[in-house]
Amino acid sequence: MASLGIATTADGRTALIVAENEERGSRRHDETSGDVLLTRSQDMRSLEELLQAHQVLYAVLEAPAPDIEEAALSDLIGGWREQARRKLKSNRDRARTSEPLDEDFTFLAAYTADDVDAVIERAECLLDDSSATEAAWGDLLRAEVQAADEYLGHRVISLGEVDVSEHGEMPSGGEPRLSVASLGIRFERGAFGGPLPLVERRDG
Amino acid sequence: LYEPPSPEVSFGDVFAGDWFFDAYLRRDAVPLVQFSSKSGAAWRAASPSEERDFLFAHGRQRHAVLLSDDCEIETIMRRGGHRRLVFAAIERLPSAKQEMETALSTRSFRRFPLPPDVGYPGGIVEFQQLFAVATDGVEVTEDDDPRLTRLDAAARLDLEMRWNAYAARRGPLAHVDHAEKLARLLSADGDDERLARLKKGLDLPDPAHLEQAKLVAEALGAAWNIEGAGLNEVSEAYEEGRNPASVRDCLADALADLAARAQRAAAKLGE
Repeated sequence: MASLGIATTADGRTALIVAENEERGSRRHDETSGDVLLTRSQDMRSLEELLQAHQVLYAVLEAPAPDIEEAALSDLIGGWREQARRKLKSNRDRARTSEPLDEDFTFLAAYTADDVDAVIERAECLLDDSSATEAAWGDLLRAEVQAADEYLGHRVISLGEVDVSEHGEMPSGGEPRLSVASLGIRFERGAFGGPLPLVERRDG
Repeated sequence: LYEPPSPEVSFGDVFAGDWFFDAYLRRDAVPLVQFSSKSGAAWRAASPSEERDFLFAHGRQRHAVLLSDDCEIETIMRRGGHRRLVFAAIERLPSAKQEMETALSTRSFRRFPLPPDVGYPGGIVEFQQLFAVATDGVEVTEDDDPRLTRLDAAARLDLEMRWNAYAARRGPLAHVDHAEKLARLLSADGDDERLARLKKGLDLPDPAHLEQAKLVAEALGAAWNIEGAGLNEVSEAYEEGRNPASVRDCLADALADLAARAQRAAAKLGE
């Protein structure tokens, strides 16, 4: 699929203008698909028509296809880098609240607010590296999960102890000679179950 | 022994529910955060924080008896939020008859036996397995009542005495326990060997000393009665705006009885 250029639309999207290949010939020639404007070079209307049709504010068109650096192009067309940045920021914010995180970013919640900055810096460093690949990003996320587990150092404690039954326990000293029932007192009611104390009634 | 729960949640109600666990902390307690996994909602350990409200902890599903007193229950239920009610877990009774009888005969302050009876299969209330439940966990609606039964008045009084003895070493059970020791101490009269035998149950305290100790426990028991029944009567009369005469007279009689019992106990100890 040959790239003809990029354009920024009125709603703020940056779209890549590409020439539609033969396999997709049945699609509309000038349709908008995501952030990609599809068209055939031989069917292209005038530049003016194209810009109006897609509310394009400005466009860069080159022929042959522009030689745009992969990292920059990825950011422009909403590729993995931009998505990764968005997710990183969103999950970092959510890690401080009770909002659910995305699975790949749960490691962020393992760190204290002071220490999470170093993790973010590592991640951003990779995203800023124009030679880094999406696979390298995935590797970093997996490594961070492991590092977070080590940082947290959480270990489940096994009960592992003998649960001594107390069913047979009897106080030393044999059978007691006194009991509540043996007292010459009739117990009818304890302190529980009384009306609210004064302070509660005032509040009420 | 057991009766249907009253409309209001109260001390001595027995609860059960999918959410009733005798939750407790160990050193592996850690906050949990939720995340969206490929197979649905999941949780993982997070760094400690004062803000996070979900926790990895221990606990087993148990029936439980409500131990908060009725005043506190009403207050907590009205205020809600992070406030909680105190429960004790109920362990199942052993299935073997002999073991069950032994379990039910416990005199330990930390345990309160619930014999099997109509309305409840019985169990052992474990004061050493306390936990707390927020109001949503105990709320009763027309469609949902997490209560299984309620201890009757006599059983609630016994539960209160045992809870009082466990939590504060106060109340009639504690009085009797200490009185028993007093009787043995008096009988030993400085004889270390006899005291050792008395402690092991190889000797019995003298009847005269038992009588002295019993009078002490009775005087203290009379005071406990005034604290509970006597003063609650005052509170209820106040609440209802009753004529104070009968309450005043009852209280005066109870205090006179307490004074007489205390004097008798003191006199007997002096003999």
